[in-house]
Amino acid sequence: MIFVTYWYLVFALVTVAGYWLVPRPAARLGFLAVACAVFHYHFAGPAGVMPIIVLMIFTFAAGYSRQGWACIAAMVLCVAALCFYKYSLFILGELVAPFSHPLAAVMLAGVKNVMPGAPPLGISFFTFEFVHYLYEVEHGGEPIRNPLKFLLFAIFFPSLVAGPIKRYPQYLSSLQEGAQRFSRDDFAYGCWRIGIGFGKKVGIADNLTYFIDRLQPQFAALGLAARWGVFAAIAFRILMDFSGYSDIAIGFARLLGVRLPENFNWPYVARSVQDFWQRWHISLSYWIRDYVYIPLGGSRHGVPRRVFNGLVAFSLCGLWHGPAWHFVIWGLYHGVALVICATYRRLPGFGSRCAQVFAWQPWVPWLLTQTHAWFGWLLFFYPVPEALHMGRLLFVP
Amino acid sequence: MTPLPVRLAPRWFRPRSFLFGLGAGLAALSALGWRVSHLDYHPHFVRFCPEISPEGSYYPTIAEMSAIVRARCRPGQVLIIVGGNSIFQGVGQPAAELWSRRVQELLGTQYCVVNLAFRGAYASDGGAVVAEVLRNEFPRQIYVANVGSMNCMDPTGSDPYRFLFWEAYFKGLLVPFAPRTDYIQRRFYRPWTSLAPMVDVAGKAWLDRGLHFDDLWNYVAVDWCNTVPSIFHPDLPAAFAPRGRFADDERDARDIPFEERYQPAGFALEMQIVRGGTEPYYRRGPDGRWVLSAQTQDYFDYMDRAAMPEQLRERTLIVVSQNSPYYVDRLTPAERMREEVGYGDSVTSWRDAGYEAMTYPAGLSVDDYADRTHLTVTGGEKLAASVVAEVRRMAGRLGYLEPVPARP
Repeated sequence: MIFVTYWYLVFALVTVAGYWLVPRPAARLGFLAVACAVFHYHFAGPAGVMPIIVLMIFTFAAGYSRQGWACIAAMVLCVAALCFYKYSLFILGELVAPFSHPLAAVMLAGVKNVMPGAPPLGISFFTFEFVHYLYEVEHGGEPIRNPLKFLLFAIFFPSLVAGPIKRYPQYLSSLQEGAQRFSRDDFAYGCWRIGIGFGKKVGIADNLTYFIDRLQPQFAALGLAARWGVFAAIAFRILMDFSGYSDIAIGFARLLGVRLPENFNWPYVARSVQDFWQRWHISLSYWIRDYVYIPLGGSRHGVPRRVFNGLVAFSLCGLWHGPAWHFVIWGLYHGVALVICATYRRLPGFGSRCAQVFAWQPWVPWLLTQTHAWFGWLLFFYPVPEALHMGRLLFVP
Repeated sequence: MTPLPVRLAPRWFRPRSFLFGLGAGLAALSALGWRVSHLDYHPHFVRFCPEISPEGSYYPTIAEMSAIVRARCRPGQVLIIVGGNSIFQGVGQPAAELWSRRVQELLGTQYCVVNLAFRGAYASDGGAVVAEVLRNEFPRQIYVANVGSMNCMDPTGSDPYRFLFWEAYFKGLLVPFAPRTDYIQRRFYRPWTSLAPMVDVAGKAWLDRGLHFDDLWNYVAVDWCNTVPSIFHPDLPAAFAPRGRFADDERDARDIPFEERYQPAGFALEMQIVRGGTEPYYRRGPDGRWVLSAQTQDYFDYMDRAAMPEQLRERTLIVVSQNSPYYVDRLTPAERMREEVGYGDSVTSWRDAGYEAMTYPAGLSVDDYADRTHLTVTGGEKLAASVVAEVRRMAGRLGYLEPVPARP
């Protein structure tokens, strides 16, 4: 993890100290932009920097022009870049190869020639932020006219690698306001969140990872209690790992006076799948809702269309996590659950009785929701047959 | 567009108190770290067995190793630090019959022998670094390490143990020595884009200098609760048990059947390794004798001279380790001759660079070896006898055996 390197620590100390030592707010933003560029160049390398520069220029220009077609073209370019860098190997291997091996081989060779060893740093996040920006401008939002501020929106280092996915009006006003003067409260709260984040990530998640990596390969040989222990460890590991990372990002941003949006809000206390997705990776689920689900029609065109929209949105949400089928299935698994959640009350008799039980005994919907979410992690982390096998072993001695 | 939730500090959160607590907490932990950095928390230390070595995910610190030495060496004793690789660490020898213990017995109480060798280490790794760090505290010291034939010293040590060198280097504990600095500049600081790893190691040393983080956590891991499970004890509850609880359980090679020590399946590979020790560096001269290439000679000379300041080289004894006769006897006569020339040239090369150097004593048999390189207890005893003779000679030459003037 980038945040757990001494390079980053030295970089962050120098950046935070330098930021507040610069006397004028405008100059502070300039200093921060240079620091963000150094961070990005250091971790992404020359090959990783080029895509974001190109997309940034197109996005800024399209937004600046406020032309609908330009915004749409830039959105298409962003999504195409994301697909190319993140999914082209998956698409060629899974969708082209079954029909024509030679064609897939030729395309694969071509793609590998132009593709860097790994996708550009944070591409999943910055393309989503660019799409959000272009969509809002295209729908009448005020574009960012200052290139420096756009640069800071694009490569703000605390959130560049793994989010939270920012909303530009909120972010820019926070950046502008935060740069005015040093706030002891923000500084202290930033330190607090960083401490919490490191505790979750290094103290809990990394140790859980050690045991999961050791025990999961021999899952079938474990006793029933131990299997449930591993199952719980998997669920807590991802929460501690990801929310810890978000805490650190939010904390570092706060040291610079910037208030990033929250990404987690106690998801394991959720009592419905909808509630869960309002607590888990909040910035992503809101993005999916605002820029996939609602533009598809949301819940405005009847139940069948609502079901379809939900499934499409969640399968894309799954695919966003990685180029593999099990991510898609994980997304669909949640999509189906959301559909059930949203519609079960309409079932005559059964639906209303369920709703009564859930209202009377709140632990029942909590148990159902968490069981659903935790089983989902098996699909998220492992190939589908293995996940199903592990799921079965939780009940078979 | 939905505005995303932003969390503010909870109402009970008091920034001033938090920052004060943060500062006070860090200061308290640093003070604890500083305190334990002066403690020897390895009371039964014999050597760095796997449980307290990097191979077991445990990374000793310079302060920790120095404390081990301080706790054993009394004022007036000549300090003998043993470094090098698994051969000198005593793989194949149980702790009670370790060759370096035998050295201690033979040298007597006028000397103090501390074995700081690590598996797979270079002569310039851990022991050498600690010896240099303690140069003023223990001015009467001899550093003894082994190297393979045709092996030179990397001035910064080997990859797995370089963390010790960097710790001492960036904490300013080493002698300023221009050739070594020049080597470091050329090897690690060339293009500015590759500076990141150096920023990492330097940053860590710089922070740890004030915080004593590594010392504190090593102390906790040895005495209280191990937080990074070792591959040697991965299961609960042993994974989190204090590392100090695990005994040094090195097997006695004499108890291992001959076929296991000299496995037929690995014979070809071992022979390849034996040949590879000298083959790349030698060519036949016109008179049929093996001649070391000038390039190799120059390289070794440069590296060995850059590894240590001159004043430390003269009190360093390099033992060129040899392969088991089980394999050497199966070489062709020409290869065997090359092997012999290689040992001789290695010793000469070390001596030319200002070190003391020797090879193994003559007459080591197949039974004195645990395998191709490591020694059994009997082999260790023979080695100890010859090393002791050389150490005594060096101590006399360096003037260590004169009575220490009484403190005013």
